[in-house]
Amino acid sequence: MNSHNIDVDTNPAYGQTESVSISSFKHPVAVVFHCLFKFLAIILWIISVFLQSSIILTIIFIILAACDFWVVKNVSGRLLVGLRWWNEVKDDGTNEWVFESLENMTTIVPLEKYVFWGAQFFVAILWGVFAILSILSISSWVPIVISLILNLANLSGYINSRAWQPIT
Amino acid sequence: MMQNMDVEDQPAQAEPTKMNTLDEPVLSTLWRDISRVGYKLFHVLIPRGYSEKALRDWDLWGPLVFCLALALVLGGDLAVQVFIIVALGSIVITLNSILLGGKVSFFQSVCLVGYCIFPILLAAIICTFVNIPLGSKSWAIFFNIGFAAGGFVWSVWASVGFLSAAVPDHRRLLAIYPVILFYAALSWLVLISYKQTGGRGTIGGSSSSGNSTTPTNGTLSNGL
Repeated sequence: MNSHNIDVDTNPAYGQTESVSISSFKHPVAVVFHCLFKFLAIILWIISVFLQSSIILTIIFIILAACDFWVVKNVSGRLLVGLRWWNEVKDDGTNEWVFESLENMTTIVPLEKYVFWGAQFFVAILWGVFAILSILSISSWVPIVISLILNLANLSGYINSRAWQPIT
Repeated sequence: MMQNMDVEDQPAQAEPTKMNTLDEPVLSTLWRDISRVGYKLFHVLIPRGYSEKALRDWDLWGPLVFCLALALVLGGDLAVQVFIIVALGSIVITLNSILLGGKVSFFQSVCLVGYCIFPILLAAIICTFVNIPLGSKSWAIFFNIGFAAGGFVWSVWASVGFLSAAVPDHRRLLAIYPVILFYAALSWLVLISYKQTGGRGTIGGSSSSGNSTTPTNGTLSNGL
């Protein structure tokens, strides 16, 4: 992992080539997983419009939303944009939200940054649209609410982390 | 470094070694989260003196997994009720504790309530397995009652320890009452799932038991 960083720092081509190829990503696996669970959830939603509602579908939605939340919070956030956020409970019971950002932001690849924020915003808005469209069908509220809450939680956590960036 | 479970050390570690934790391999992140869930589960279910520290580092993965598992084990009709009861119930219990003057954070309380579902999940799994051979016997329900009651008592005992410590003394009973209701509702769901599994057994069980007197139809129904 350390040698990988050294390669990137001396190779200015990351994210700046005109054509997007696999080599223009510093963390291709993280990018793939960042988008994978979101993509699967959307595909499943489109499929589920034509199927009758079942509890198995709801459970699969919840599992996909949970996997996506974990990946975005623990992996793609720190690898793609160098941000992190969490919650700490102090000894006296009060809790505090902590946000962290990478000191040296030049190691962040612009293309990956766009993919990260683009996917996150896009999916949040899309689930909002699904929520409005399905407001009359109560059986679909559980997956919609859970997906919305988890996506918005990550979105707001990372937006707050971004506000803590040191000004270069 | 990653095996250190002490919560107070971890943020302090994150500062000087930020690049290490920001660059750590994904598998070690995953393993750290999984072992934290296991650690918390162990300390919540077998309360000891220092378990309060274990809960300070809350996470909602345990409650999510247990809720999903309980929904799957109990089966389709009851699964939706499980979700609704767990979601609304844990929020209500948390609000109740906070409004009574308790010094717990919202997520910590939801985390605790969710982790204490585990005994009821165990009871549901055991009941499901017990009902497979015993499904048609009328006295099998006493096994269900026993396991459901055992899960209920264990869950309440595990959760009351934490919640009553956080709330002022004269309000302890007020804080515990919704917790008892909550776990009673979940144990009740486990109990009445007996009607689903006891009556029909496995998917092939009902058709074969229904057709035991008409062997000519057995091949047709076994094709289901």
